[in-house]
Amino acid sequence: MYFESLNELWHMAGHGVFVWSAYAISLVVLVGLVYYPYRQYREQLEAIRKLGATLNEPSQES
Amino acid sequence: MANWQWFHRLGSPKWLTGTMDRWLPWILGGGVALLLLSSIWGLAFTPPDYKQGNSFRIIYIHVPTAVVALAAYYVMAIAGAVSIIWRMKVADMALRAVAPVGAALTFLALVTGAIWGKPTWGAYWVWQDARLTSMLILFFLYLGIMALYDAYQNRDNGSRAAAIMALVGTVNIPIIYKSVDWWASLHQPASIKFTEETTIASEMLQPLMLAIPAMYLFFIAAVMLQMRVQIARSEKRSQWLQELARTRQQK
Repeated sequence: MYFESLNELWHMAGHGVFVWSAYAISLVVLVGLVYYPYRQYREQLEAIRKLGATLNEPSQES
Repeated sequence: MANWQWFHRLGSPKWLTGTMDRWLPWILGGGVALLLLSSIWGLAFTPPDYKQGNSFRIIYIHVPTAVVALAAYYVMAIAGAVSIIWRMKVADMALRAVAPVGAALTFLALVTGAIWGKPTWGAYWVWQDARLTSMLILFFLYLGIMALYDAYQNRDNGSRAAAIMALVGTVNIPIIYKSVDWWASLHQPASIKFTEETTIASEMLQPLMLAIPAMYLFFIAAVMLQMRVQIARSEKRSQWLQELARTRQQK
């Protein structure tokens, strides 16, 4: 490691607040880019299952 | 005889979904692993810049997001052209899939650049700067395209309008590239050049040469995730997708 200690890595001689916030924001946005379409796709498949069930199976009453 | 089978397959939502499902874990996993590796390398195992100090470490996220945000625009514009010329449904889906990813990456390039600007230039944002302004226009182009395809009652009209806007917006791309040469800009010119010698120390360059392909992999995975959503939206009544939805539940 280039830094002497984890504390130095965190502070980066005064630039730590800029560097780490840039990486933190990037992490949040990149995770969101994976999470939201993943969740949306699962919800879609769930809806499609329900749609298929109502189309293919005759209802109990008839 | 030329084999055009791949092109027909590309137009098949069923084949596309199956292929993407198979490749997604590897591409996403590879992209994330390489991004983590390049970030740790750049953050902790690289010497600081002699002028900028440690703030330069933002380069390992700023440059990859900016490079891929621009490449994403090419992909989107080509998809737009294909969708207008051949009315290919999958191309329209690709345009819709790339736009939010491109917008997010452009947003990150702008934000990380602004954060980098504060300790380096003394300001988060400078309105007179051509590179910053043209990149902001790119962000608005992505947002505009996303707004356009939702603005029409008729899906085909929305697709057409979004595709035309994507094509018109390509004039902004060379402006972004050349902005640092054409106008006086605070933004430093590119350090990595294909025609001249690269002006960056190799130990600083190596993590960046890892981070850029890593971001490309991540981009491909993110677009695939969006693409699956687009396909499922337009194919929700087709037999193959209902079968796929049922087999997913059993797992």
